[in-house]
Amino acid sequence: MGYDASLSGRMELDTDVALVKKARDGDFRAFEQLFDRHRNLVYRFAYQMTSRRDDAEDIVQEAFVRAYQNLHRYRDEAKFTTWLLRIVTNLCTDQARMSQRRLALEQQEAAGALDWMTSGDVEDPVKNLEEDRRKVVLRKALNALPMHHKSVIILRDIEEREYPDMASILGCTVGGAKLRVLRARRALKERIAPLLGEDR
Amino acid sequence: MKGKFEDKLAKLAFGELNSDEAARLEREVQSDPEALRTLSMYKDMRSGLRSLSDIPEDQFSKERLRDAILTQGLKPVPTRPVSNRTWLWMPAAACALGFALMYGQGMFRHSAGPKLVINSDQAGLHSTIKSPIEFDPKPTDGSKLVAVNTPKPSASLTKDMLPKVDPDEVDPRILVSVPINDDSYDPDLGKMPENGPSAPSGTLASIEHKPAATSVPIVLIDQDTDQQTGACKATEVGSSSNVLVGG
Repeated sequence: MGYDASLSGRMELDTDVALVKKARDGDFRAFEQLFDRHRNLVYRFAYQMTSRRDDAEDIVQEAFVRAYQNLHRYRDEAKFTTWLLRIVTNLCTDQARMSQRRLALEQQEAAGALDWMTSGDVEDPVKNLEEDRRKVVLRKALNALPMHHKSVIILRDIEEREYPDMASILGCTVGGAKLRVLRARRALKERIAPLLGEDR
Repeated sequence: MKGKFEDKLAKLAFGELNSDEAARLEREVQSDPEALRTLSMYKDMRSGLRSLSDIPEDQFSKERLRDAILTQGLKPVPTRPVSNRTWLWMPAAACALGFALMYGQGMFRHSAGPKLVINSDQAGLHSTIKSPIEFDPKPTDGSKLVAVNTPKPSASLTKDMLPKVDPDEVDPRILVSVPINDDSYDPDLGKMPENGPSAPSGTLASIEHKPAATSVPIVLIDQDTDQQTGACKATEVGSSSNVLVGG
């Protein structure tokens, strides 16, 4: 009986909200726990948005710094991860504006070369070559999308977030999030159609 | 291809239609090559996007985060909003300003009050009297000094209010035109007894009763009203010598 009560209390304390409250009171270890829990989520999204590991890591750092700085603004009714991804989305948008040219010229070649060297099935190089080419084409088309299309594609079709979460992250309704996804998919299809249609 | 139909194809490719709708749409697409090609493209897009989810591991550490936060000197802001308290100083400042204005006006009125003139032939000696004499300071406009003749006899000067004068330096012809609240003082003679017990330290050896400040006319206002006009009766006197200050 007492064990059950202590276990449920422990689970309650381990929620994000409880950790946020502790961090607000100056408990830095609680904030480190939040970092450990969600760093991978933040990094994944940041990497998809920037296509560069160093840029993604910078965004992870900046996102958690901003989260720590603005903990008092976090409202408990929203999920902490949703709030965090909203910060990351804004940071990625800012970062893309600053380094748009660099991403367009340098990183695509590097990413393609990296993919070529590090991924794929060794047993069927021809098949891997084709898959890698499609990946490069898709990544290029994705990076060429406007940020508002790119972010919803990454959230929904790569990171597989649910629509209510997306609505909170994007600051819109669930219906609005669905509509944005449809538009973004259509925009992406129009970009990859001429590239993939050559071999059809 | 219409937009709504294409959106349905996209939903079908990404698995966002229920089973009934999906089956119906797939049957419909079989007879439409363009729709079939579009559906195939969306399905390829979906699988390609899924494959993009493989990303390299990050090399981020807690130490790096801690350093970043410490370097910037950041501290979590307290939960309690401070902005509510920032409004408290405004009414406090308004009250303080109001008090300052009222007090300043009071000081200004006192400074513009009537003057007790202690006159000498060579030089006028002015001394301001604030409360004991019942002058109404409001009508003073520089040319007239108005005294209200109230029946209260209590307002009068005390000996302590008189200026202290060194007997060695005193001019024997100093005139005093106001009575003092002392039984030993004879207002008709304007003299203090030579060995009076309540004489101030600077006892005036010779006091001559002369009119003081004749240049300023004085108007006496009675409390009785004029039957014709209904206003209080007023009498202008030529000098202040015949005005009994304090009743």
